[in-house]
Amino acid sequence: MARELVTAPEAAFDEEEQRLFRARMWALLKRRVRWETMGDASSLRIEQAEELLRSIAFTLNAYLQYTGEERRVLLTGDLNDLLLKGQDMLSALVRETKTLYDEARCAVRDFGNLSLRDTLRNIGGFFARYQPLSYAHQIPADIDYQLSQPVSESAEGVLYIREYLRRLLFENAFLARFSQADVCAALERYYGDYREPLVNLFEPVAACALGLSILDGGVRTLQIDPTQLSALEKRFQALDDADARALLDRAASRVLTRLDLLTPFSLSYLQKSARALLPRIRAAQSLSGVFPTVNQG
Amino acid sequence: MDEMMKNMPKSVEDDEKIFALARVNAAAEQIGLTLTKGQMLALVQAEERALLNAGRVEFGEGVLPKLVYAFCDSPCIADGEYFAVLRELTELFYDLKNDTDGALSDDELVDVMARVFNGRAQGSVAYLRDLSPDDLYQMATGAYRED
Repeated sequence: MARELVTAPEAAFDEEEQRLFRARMWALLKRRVRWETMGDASSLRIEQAEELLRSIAFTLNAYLQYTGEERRVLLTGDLNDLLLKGQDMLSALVRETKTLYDEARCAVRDFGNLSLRDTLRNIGGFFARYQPLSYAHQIPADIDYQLSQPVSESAEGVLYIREYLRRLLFENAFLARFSQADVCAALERYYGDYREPLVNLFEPVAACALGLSILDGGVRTLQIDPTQLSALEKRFQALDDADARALLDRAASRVLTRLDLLTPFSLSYLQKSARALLPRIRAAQSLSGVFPTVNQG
Repeated sequence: MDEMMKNMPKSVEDDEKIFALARVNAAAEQIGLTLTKGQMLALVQAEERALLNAGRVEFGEGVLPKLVYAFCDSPCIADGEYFAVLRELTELFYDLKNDTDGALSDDELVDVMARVFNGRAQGSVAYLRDLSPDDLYQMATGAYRED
């Protein structure tokens, strides 16, 4: 995101405006350095100066993104004033994100998965270590647990954490619609060991629910038998990719409706996860590697 | 260096640095060693190189005015050595800023460099260079004790 601020206006501004923009950013950085060093030093290590500049760029960009102000304000407005407003906005976002985190700590079931357990604990440390005034772009937390739809790598600072928690809370809300025993059984069928490795708990359960929805089965059972698996294989074989994607999209909508979880965010999320199954469906010799299947007999 | 930093303008142009240096140099004329215009320009350029070598970026006038003010009346510098010593001290200053990692302000560092240079170092920049960051910090805060 910090790079978008510099590269996007660099593209939008003409050469003279780019020079003006860089001069204004430099003046702002000088001011921040004085604040950071309390006037005790007039030079910094390059790496430290770069981090401060990234933080400024991130904060200004986040402010523009959230307020919808035109980028031209970077050339005409009081940059220090914009930076202060951006910092206030980030501080408010930190409080909001802390609330999300408190919710996640209470609500998220880790099913014994160590990576999820550790990640949840580590995110708590973020709030103590995060410095929105000086290093707003940094993410001082180890986030190992992989979401089904990872947060974009261009997201930084508290914006990354906020989005991560939002997605994690959705994945958890989805899993919470099923009995713990059924979820664990589906995870075991799919992964074998789902506690130690870095695996995502949501995906196999979502795949199961999607498969059952396509077959008009009861989505909450999380059980696809070999006969049903064969029916799924035939169904996908008969469709081209465009129709298969449409089928998966509709299945996502039906699943969320049945689970009473349908929102624009949840629909977009589950549809992306559903569509991500298609390349694996096409490549798989057997769909039991895509849809967790119960053995019969 | 990061792309963003590479494209940034200089904080203070060389002319302004030379002007700041000339102001202090003029004041120093009354009490001690002085620099020629050519030497001032060469020192400003040497400071740029010292910053580059130390991996630092300057946001103000640089350290030269402070060094001139602190060393212009040093009893350990002969007239003919003044320029060369200042050049060495400039390089050493930025290395020590890295070594002490912000523990000493610019003023504190220049002050302890001058005190040690004029005192136990007897005019040796090499002696200053060999001091550990801990020793320097303790000398700056008055806590240093010789074994």
